Amino acid sequence: MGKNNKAVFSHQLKTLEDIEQKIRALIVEHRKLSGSHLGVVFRTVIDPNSATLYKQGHHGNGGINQGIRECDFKLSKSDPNWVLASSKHGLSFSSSVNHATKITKFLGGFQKTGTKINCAYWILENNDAIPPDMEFVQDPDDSDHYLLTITKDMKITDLVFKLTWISQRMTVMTDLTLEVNKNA
Amino acid sequence: MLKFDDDSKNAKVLAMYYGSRVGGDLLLAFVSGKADIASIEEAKLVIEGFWEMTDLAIQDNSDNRKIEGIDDIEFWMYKLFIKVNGYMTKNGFAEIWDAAANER
Repeated sequence: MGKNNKAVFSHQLKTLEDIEQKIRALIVEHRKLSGSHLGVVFRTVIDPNSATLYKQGHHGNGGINQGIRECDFKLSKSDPNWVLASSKHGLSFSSSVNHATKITKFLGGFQKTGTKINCAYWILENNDAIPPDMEFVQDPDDSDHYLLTITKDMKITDLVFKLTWISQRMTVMTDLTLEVNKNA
Repeated sequence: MLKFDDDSKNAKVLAMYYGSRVGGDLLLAFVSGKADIASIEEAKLVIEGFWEMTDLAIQDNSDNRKIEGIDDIEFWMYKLFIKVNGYMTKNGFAEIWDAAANER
């Protein structure tokens, strides 16, 4: 393995443990006790992005349109201002402690030294918590991975509005921020 | 076996590209969706190879390289990671998979 890419979050094991502990507690409180299917979901957030929308230059090397990565959603080829409904496209979320921390570590490896990485969570009190024409789809390849998809074609501005609404309801664990450190 | 469709073909392209660069028949066959893992020993080989593939991809991504026409290496390697993670979890290799991930 490349030495430079090892121990991305070195010297931050306590923070990682605290994140795991917090996720575990959230799952117990919002899923296990209520008996609901999801209850709470988690997502890795790379600074300075919001929990659901990306900023130019901090979205990877692909295309971006109004904060939406072109790889995440299925943009119409004839009119990129429209997003097409697809059960295979959407924003990634994790449903377990183990999954969320593995994703954070994996994506951390791709970031530059000094980049701050957070875990965000979204409490889904009931079905009304998800905006209309959106739904979670379990990944057939990985049962702890969910895509927040759209079920109806919509203008990209409408999707941005919905994702902004969701972001405002998500909590970023800013007290448990990790920092990429590839030189340790 | 790992499954790829038209929507995930870029993940397969990168899997084959980096699998070839790391080398090993089993690794390449597994990541390109042509073979299963039959034992713990095979799983260990594949997992080690996968992380070597990831390290190569991280370097290429950092250098803004385009691989086989694909510029968003981080995103498509993430998609591949999800597939491998699901496979390892579903097929009884979660313990060694997670241990290898924790070492990073």
